[in-house]
Amino acid sequence: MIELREVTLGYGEQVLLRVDELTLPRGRITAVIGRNGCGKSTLLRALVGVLPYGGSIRLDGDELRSLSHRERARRVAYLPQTLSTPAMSVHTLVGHGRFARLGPLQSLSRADRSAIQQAMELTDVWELRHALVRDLSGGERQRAYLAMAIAQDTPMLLLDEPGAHLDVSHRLEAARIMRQLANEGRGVVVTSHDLPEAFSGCDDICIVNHETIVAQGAVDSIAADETLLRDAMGVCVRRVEGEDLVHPYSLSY
Amino acid sequence: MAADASRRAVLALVAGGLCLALAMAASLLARTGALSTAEAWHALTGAATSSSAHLIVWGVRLPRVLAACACGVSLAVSGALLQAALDNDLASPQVMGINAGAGFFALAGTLLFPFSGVARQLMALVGALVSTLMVYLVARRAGAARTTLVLAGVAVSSLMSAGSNAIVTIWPKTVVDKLAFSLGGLTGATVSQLTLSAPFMVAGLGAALLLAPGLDLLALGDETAIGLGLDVRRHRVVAIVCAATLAAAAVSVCGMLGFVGLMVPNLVRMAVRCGLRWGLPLCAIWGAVLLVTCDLLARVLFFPYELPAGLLLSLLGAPFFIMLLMRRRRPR
Repeated sequence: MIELREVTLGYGEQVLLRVDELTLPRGRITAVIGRNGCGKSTLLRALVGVLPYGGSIRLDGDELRSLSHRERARRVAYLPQTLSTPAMSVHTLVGHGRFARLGPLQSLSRADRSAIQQAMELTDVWELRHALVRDLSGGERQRAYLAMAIAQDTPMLLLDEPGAHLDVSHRLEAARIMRQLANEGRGVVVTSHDLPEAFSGCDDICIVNHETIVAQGAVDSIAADETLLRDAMGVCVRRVEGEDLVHPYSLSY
Repeated sequence: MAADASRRAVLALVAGGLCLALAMAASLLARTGALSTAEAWHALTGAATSSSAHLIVWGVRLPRVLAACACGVSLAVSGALLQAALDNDLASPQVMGINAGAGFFALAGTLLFPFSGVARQLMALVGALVSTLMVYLVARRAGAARTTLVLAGVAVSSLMSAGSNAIVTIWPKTVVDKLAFSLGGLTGATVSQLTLSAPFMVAGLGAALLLAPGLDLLALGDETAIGLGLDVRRHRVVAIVCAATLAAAAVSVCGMLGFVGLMVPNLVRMAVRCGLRWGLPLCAIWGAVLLVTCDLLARVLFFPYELPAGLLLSLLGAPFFIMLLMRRRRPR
């Protein structure tokens, strides 16, 4: 679980995001939504230690800044929005997910190899294991990096726009994977611009507006507050009844 | 790492070992002047009848070959560390002015402490670190660390070379062969020089091997590397200091030899797509192959005249550098 109290994020005087109180629990999927540039990615970057912060961020009760880099990486995995295209194989990339769990010589044990293979099979990149990351399509690359984050085997996963480059079928597959991870007891935090997908696939919604967290709660309660959503996003969502719908929530004015 | 990449790496390592053994044997046994290959072989195996043959093989050629190996290893690994730490395939100890800084300070050390090899060695290390720091600060001030780093290196290199030139102009007796020192070569390499540099080389190589897994993460970008548990800033600084130490140790022995640190890591990356865990040993062995071979060619190509090995390396390295520049401009 990640708990934020009286947190300011940014560099020196420049505050990028203020959070009075926010709890990101295990076993649930939390979507962080908001307009472009409102601070969604900033929040995730601070939670993984990329950005400095004031106030208190606790990972399972321990203050984030008191943890070593490796200890933090054993508790939180992070998939950034911009992914590089290194000249390494997909298998090597996913193997890097085990970095914080290995000794100085970085030798993979049988358990490590098994975790890597399972992550690759889960994200459907096992067949691509010998391919170079830089030769992959955007969607394949996104899935390879997702496998790396899963191979990190952490109780919390922070995914910045994980569906950005995926086609429809792989977006649905990514949603199924996130649900599976949450069912295993892991906490998943995703940023998203796609409101129907966020409201349909997640348990909780956190709204960022004007560099601050304006609301956090279960999907149904947030969807019910149309004024709040219109103010933050310009639109609201409505639940649609139907058995064969991909997303039970759709956009409305 | 994927199995086929591991296979390629092992093959390249075995091939490198064979090539190094051949190059060393050729360098020790090459027929030059009055010494035939058979005489050199007899001297090497202890069956020589002539004391001059024994002296040439054991007192001149062997230290020179060992120095070429050690310097080739150090410069190539130094280049690989810099390229990984800065995520820039143009980075190398020469391009970034580290060689020039080490050379200038080594000359200053020779001038200030003429009877202390240790002082010269330490001064070379200080010079390498000063150059590195200057390049880093200039690039950081310019606002785009990776793209301006190489240009900052060129500027610092010019400054340090001017210092070296000033020393050899004002105090021409400081170095016996100033051309060989500035171009780089192994003509004057001695066992005592190598002994002084060896601890720095061994420490640098050991640290490089420990740094390798973390440096591989830097290819994924800083944010991803931090997310995977790497202290990016500290790792980068330690890698650069390690690269500077290796380059300084090499420069103390072979002068301002260029392009080994640029060519070898790039060629290894092109031939074997693997991380630095395999990449560093490959760079080490092929760096040694390159320098021992260049030194041999420099000795025998225009015998009885001898070229500085650095001249041959420049003839190979400069077109390679241009090719890298042109390749970077092409859209991927």
